Amino acid sequence: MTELGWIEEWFRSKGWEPRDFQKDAWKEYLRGQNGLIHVSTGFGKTFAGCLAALAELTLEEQPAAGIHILYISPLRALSGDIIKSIRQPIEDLQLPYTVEGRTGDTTAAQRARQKRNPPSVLVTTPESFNLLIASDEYREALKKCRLLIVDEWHELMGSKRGVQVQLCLAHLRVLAPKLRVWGLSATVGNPELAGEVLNGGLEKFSFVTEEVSKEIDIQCLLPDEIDSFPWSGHLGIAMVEKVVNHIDLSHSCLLFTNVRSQTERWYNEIKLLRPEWEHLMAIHHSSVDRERREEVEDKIKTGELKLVVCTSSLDLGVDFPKVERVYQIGSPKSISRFIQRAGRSGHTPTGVPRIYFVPTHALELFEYLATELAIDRGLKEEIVPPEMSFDVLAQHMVTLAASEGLVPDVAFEEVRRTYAFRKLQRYHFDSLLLFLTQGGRSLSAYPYYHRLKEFDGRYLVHDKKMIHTHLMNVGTITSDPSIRIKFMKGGTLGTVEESFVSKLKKGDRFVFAGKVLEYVMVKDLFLYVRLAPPNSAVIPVWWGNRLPLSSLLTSHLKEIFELIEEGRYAHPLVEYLAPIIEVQKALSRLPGRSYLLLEETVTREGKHLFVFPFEGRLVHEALAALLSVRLALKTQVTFSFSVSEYGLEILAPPDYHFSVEEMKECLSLDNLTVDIQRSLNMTQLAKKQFREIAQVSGLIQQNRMGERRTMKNLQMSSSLLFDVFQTYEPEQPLYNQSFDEVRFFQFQESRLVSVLRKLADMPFELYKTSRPTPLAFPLVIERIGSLVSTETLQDRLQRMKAKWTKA
Amino acid sequence: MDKSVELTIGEDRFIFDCRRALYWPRRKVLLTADLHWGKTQYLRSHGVAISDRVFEADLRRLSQVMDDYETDSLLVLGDLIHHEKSLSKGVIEKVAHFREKNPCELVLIKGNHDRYTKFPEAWGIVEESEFTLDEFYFTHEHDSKKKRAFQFSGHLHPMLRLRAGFDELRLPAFILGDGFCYLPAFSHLTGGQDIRLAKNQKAVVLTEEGLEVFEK
Repeated sequence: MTELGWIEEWFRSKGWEPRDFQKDAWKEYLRGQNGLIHVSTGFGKTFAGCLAALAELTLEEQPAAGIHILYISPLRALSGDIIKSIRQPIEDLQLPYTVEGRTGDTTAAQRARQKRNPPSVLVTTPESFNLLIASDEYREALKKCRLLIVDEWHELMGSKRGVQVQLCLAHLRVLAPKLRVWGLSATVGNPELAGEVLNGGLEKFSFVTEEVSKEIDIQCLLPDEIDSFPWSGHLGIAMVEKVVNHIDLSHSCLLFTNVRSQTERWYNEIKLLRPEWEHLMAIHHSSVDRERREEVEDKIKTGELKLVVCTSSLDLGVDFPKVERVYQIGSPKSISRFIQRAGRSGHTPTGVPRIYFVPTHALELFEYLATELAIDRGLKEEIVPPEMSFDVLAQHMVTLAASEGLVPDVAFEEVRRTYAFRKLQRYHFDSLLLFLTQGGRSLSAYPYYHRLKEFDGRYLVHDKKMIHTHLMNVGTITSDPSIRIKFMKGGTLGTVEESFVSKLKKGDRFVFAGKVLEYVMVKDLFLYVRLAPPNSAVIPVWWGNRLPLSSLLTSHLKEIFELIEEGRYAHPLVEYLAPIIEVQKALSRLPGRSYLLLEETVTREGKHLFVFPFEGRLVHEALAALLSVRLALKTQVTFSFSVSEYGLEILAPPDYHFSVEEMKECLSLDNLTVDIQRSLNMTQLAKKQFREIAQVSGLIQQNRMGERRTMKNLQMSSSLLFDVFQTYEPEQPLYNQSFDEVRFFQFQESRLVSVLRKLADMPFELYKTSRPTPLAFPLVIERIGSLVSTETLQDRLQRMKAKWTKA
Repeated sequence: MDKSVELTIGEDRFIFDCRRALYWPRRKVLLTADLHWGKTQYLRSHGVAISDRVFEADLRRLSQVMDDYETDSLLVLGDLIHHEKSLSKGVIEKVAHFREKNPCELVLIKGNHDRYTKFPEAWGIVEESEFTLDEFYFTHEHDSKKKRAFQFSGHLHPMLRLRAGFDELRLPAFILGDGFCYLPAFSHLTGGQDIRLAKNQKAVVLTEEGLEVFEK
């Protein structure tokens, strides 16, 4: 019997017919190929990925011992379902193989047993993958590994977790000579790159795909009157009543918001309007305790809960067959996310994904038009994979040293085989190794910092305690230190960031997990609370942290404006939005693709310049830093700049003159690299990035054994450390990495160059407006400004003194 | 902009220096607070890759201030060192070298960070838990129960937040009020806490190049 015959026989016994892509995937695997399965979610990618290897094992009569298949999934919530799926054929056909999971949740006893007796199929997370490599027993068991599956690759490839997977995978290829690597990905805008990133060079690589997507039913809930609907904001409370009247609890539904505080607000507002729904609804976001979240997920599955208010915490995960409708509150932010969220509904055989878009302010309706246009064209976002993440590499090198020891020549070649480090130079690698062995040049005098030691050309971690510290810190997701919320009477609810707790005073009330809580005290990383009456005044727990709009969406948004300006877009919404379009036109103009719109307004705060390239928040941040630094270098002045998805604002003193000539000059490509470095030195943008790097690389250790309580002292110092390195140790490699990351990852220098090139050929049109236009309004209202100054600290202090004396 | 300013407290003149130190000419005493020596070592032992350069620069700055003012005694208002575990061989030697060059009397009012520290003999430190000289009381933490004497204290690492239009600065400062003066932290490797000036209080706000007095 052939492997294919074996699989198809089992499929038939279940009454199923394999899909084309599944058959393709099996054939390609059996041909010895690596590959990527690129198909919409919910069509059986797990079976497509695993069954051929299982068939091979069975027909070869391989004994169960050893890990034959390693299955990496970024979501531990999914591992239960994955294990269940893979166990199906094994149980039906009474095969000798075992399937188990290993995540951060697996108990120590289970882990110890697994280590002695590893399962034939191991389902685990990227972080645990790294730990497996460091363990002697697992390395031995993995030698038999013939298939590595990386699930949800579209989620991983754009993040540092994806880089971690690339590195571990490169090492596994060395450990397991028979290894084939297969990625499972939902549809993305750049599938070829997704394959290349996973597989390094594309030798023996097969790309498997099939058009299987379902239609989506998209509708928009409009406010009654556009005239009184706000131009900015993100909570959208004005729409609650409309949504509540629309919700029909005979169908289960998910209500997605973009941020956690919005989730809490919406949940409470709905509860106030419909107290009788309380036992049918729940709240779900990443800070709610895992047990509570799992309970909510189970109850959506069974249909016991009819309405769940949630954030991206439910974007991915187990299927909810009962969910028939999805509401999206506020901007969808990206086409893929919108489709993904819609796809959480309509899983019944006759069901169709159904999503209702609910705007929180008027401009989001334009974003909705852009989303619709892009979906009609069948487009999805391209994912940008990070490169040269030295913090992740440093962590991986310590893992290698903690396992069999790191041999520089071998490790360098191995690392270079990954996409992320394909351009790695030997001197990068050597300076990182120097950092790990001697702490770099500036730290060579301090023995404590010698984390790795060389023995006969092999670098090892010689201190047991240091190995533990490293293993406890493995991971690339950083967060504020979190404080667990606990009732005085016992029982925990979830976690909040320490920065929030530090702002609270005794007796303050806040909303969490849909409950109004009163602060009682903080002790040992617990925030003790008691229930407060539901209508008392409260403080929001989270702010900031907004998802950027995708560039696919912003480019379509610009197109929509252009089509409207030219009167070429017939859509009922355009008529509905006419009052806003008229205001924008009366004060200035609609933005377009053939010119750059600029607006200047004077308010009490000073003189505002608004620029609208419509290139998304990240590019605007780079443009704003570049433009304000270059302008500031021409004279001595202090600016504040801020950005939105649509454009940027530079706020100057009232007597400052913005000239179109100068702005054109300051957005040129000349001297770009130098000026970007200058912009970074003169703004605080690199500082934000440094915090994350400091933690991932182990510069600041988050969980030292038995030292959780001192964490606070160390945590607070990442910003101070940045300042000290800036003044005293500018050669510190991780300090420098924070600049590189902002340049390459956040600024996307290559994208910046193409934007600047576009702008160079465009006329700049400056309109002086008597008040901020609908487009400029969000920049004025929601400003989180960064300062750029070419004045000395002394001059600025003197001005403050002058103002102080006047007041 | 001036690098120092002279203010009168009681009957005495005091010179506030932008390098985060306070000089008392009549007694030839130089006052500083919160030096946090060895904090770099402490951070290293907790996994933070930082060298001693900022610590060495703090020591150099202190030497220079002592050279610029005729200093018979250096009076430290607490937290001279960061932690008893920060007394590594390197730290001990660097300070011993500093003391050889600056052999004046060094009086330490013990702070919360050095309460249990046993200091190396080579440093020649006179330890006190509090200290009174003339009508002035010197302490690490301000004691609101002591009403009679004028108090100089450290501990708070006071900072002042200032605005002019959209421009904002946050800088270390001396805070002077009715019967007290808080000193800024001397070390550059320290954070600080915002102080709001109350009526009739003064702040001497510092940059590395100069200072400005703000009065409410």
